[in-house]
Amino acid sequence: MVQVSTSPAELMPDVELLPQSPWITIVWNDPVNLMSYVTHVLMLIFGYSRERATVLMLQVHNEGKAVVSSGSREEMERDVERLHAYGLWATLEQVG
Amino acid sequence: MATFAKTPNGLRLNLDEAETAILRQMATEVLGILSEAGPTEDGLDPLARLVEISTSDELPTDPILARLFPNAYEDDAWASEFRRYTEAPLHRAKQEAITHVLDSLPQSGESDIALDLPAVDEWLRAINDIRLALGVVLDVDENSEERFAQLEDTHPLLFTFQVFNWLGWVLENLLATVTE
Repeated sequence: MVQVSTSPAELMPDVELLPQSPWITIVWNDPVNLMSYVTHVLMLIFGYSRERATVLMLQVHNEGKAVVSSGSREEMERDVERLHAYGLWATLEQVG
Repeated sequence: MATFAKTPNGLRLNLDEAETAILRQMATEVLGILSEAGPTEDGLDPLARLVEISTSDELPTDPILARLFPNAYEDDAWASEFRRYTEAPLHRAKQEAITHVLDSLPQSGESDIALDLPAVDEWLRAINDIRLALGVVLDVDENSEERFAQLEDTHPLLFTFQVFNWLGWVLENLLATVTE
């Protein structure tokens, strides 16, 4: 029997009751995605300036990953979904 | 050789006959991979189908699909749940973008295509997805240039690598033209 899905965030009600620890979206380095494309996508999705998006892109490129946004779990799920739509390799996790 | 010209509401792209044929072939191949592997909706009630929840909840075994639809969480259970309600719309968006690129290409001959900004966005996503798929096939990493430089001229993967690089050049030019 297949159950109608709920959002993953709703699966873990206990987490939501704890003092709010922020969630973060991470973009991981990838040998295929072009630096200019990654910068463009970060500007487009998050409304970042070219300078800020470039700093984040370089961090992904040089350090292997970068935190590109933070907020509620639902917001980070939405960010990850949009990043996947653009082919960036992104995950979300809770800080701490 | 392709040319790119900025227009008031987007850009104008010209591809020669060979480029048009190659892009058509690559887009068709990746669309084929996506079409064969649509998220399963078996056993879902109509409401779940309507809101595009699928029963797909595992990282695809095909490495190309695994790259196009990566896990969102390190935790498998959370990754599965996320996938169940995001993979179907994500899959549809990727198929649509590539389909629209194909629809704008002539069956043969050169291409002279006017793209408005939403269309440019679809082209960027489609070409990037095609590059991601080729990147898996070619096992692209930081040392690919050197590795492929050592291959015989007739090695079949060499041509694929040239196409991969050409698509990167097209992507760079599309971006540069709309942001200039």
